[in-house]
Amino acid sequence: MKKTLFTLSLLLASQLSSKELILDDLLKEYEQSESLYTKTKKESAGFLIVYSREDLEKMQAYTLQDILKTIRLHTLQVRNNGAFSLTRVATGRMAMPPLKLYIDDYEVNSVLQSNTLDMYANLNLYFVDHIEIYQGGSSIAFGNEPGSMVIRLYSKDPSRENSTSFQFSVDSESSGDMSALTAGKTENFSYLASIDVAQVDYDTYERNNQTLSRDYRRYQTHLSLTKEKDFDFAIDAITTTTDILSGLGTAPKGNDILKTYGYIYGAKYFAKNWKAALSYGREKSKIDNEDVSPIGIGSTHSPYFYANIDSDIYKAILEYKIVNNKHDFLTGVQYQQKSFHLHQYDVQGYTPALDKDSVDIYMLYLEELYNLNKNNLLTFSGKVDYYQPEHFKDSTEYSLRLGFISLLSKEWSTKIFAIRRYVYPTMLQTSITPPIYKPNPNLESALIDLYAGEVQYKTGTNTVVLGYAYKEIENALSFNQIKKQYFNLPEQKHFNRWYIRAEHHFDLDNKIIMEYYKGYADTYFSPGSGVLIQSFNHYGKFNIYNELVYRSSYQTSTNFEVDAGYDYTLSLGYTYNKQTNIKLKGENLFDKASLTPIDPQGTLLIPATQRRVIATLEYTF
Amino acid sequence: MKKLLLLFILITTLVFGSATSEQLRVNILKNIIVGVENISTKKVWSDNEELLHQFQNTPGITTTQNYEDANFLILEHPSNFNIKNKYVFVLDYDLLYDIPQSFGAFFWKKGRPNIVFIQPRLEEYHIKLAKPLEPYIEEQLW
Repeated sequence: MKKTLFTLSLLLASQLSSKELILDDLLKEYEQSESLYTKTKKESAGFLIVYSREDLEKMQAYTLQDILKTIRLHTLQVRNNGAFSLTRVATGRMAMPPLKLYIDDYEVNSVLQSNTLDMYANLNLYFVDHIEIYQGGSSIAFGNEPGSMVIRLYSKDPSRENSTSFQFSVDSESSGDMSALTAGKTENFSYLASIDVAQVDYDTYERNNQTLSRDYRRYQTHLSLTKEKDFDFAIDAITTTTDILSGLGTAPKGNDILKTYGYIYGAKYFAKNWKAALSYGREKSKIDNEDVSPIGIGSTHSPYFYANIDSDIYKAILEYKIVNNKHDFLTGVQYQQKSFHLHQYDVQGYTPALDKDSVDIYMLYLEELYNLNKNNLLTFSGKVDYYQPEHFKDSTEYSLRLGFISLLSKEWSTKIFAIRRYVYPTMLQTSITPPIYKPNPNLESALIDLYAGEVQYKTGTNTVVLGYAYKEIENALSFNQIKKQYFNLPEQKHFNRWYIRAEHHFDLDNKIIMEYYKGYADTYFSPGSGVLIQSFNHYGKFNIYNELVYRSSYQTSTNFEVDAGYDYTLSLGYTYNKQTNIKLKGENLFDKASLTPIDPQGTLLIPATQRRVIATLEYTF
Repeated sequence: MKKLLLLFILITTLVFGSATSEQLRVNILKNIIVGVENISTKKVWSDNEELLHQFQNTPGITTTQNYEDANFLILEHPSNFNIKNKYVFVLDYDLLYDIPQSFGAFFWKKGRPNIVFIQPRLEEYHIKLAKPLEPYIEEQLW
């Protein structure tokens, strides 16, 4: 007996180098099993990519752009005014893909930006727990206007924070970023409050004796009060002042753009799965642009352009849900009003046609998830949206979505979606007089048919996913460089794209992700293929993260070739003690990231991610 | 033998790594209960009924439905009842302040589950912990 026990203890000792580590592993496994994304993710809502809290921490993802640059089928680029632009495979920078951004349950939709990411790419993520990205035609159950991709940010759960923490970063470009967060719970509610202040500097460029800069300053806050199954309340605001880079002309005289977005959101949960939500969002854009050469604006030229525009977004939502063994049924109505007001529009020799405009949208939607049996799920979604613009004709738009999700075996599963949706032209295309092109009030919705499928093979430690999508677009919204106007393409457009993603978990702390995608289109104005390699590692008190983002060469709409590029990022984190973390991150370390041409001739090519080294100290009370 | 039992619990929970979140939580607490070595027979009670239910049928742990019969309490909320001569472990860090008799806590902080035992309280209540639990001992409350 003694010998058996001795042998057993030896066996145990050999398997487990340290007893303490075992309980740590158990805690780690518990932490991962309790990850918030396991409660919020919705597999039926599309092809899902999750960045868990642990991932974000190892990546040292400070702003949303750190995530955007890794998303397959997209390339993070820079606009002429210094803002970021997430460009879909093969499309140009002037495209306005309907990318949707949510902070918890609020959709941050913009009137004054081509999409919200123009501004929110700069969002500091210190208050964010995890990020879910849905591709392949997002679920109608998310409400709002349909989007091609949905990015959902979920704030940290106060009941798991119970702390106050500060984070301070400086980098090799002399930037500084300071974040603070406090969160916890009382007997009646949970609370979270975060603030962030940053000055972010970039390399500058010279043209016509002017310095071109895209430095920006950011002030940001997020506050929330919640009570589970009772109410949610949130206030969020972000203000950025960005140097205008090349602006609307070629060499601005040190001008900038002020952009502000704020919202207040409240939701009440009632008995029997009723939910009501009200929200108000306000947006401001103030542009000061004076150039050494006249700026082409519409059909005229002006040495300056000053604009001050506000927008208001009101939303009211009522939803009802039925859940039982076979069904998961959701229905809802939403009213949304979006408007803009032009307070200043100062251009020599040009007066805009409209100084204000608005659109009312009435939406009715439903989604049924029907369990055929324990391994097969059928989804059906339908949505009717009635648009009532102030100045133009009303229209009714429809979206339909059919889906089939099946666990084929213990290892194999598949998701298949067939989607009919639309893209309604934005006010930026139809009525706000934009600086560099003419509005087109006659634009009609683009109609999209999308057929997408994903097959997954998963064992205990390995996951391989193969995805494919085919898309047809009628009335595609396209930008005409000569007429300087958006118009509906008369011919039908076709796109194919596929991707493969492999993930291997060495253990609870270490994993590697490899991904490749390729798009097929008639024309390419942005990278057509890309690679992502991510390695997440943990050794003792160290977190190590390696990332390689590759984007292929491409031809611009003005017919010159931009070389392929790769962005290598290395992040090192050290846990000094329970209160203190020290972090070091190198972004675009080889300075070879994919470039964006800022002028039609391609004399100025800029990477979205600046080469820099960031040092960070985080302290928790 | 107690140490072996503790190791066995730890290993089985690791081997069967696909355990649910609730099972993992119970297993962590089991490790803590078993790891308190100077109590020969533990009669456990918790104000969390679900947890108490899950502790039933656990080797080495006896549960009771009446806190007065228990000698080991796992508390999630502040208590108004008499806890004299009982070992108290809490599920919220703030309860370490509210219940001076509590010797340790299992709680969430900054998005992570944590375990902590307070050294002066271990000494005051003559509690001896198994070696695997020693790394979680801290000298004082934060």
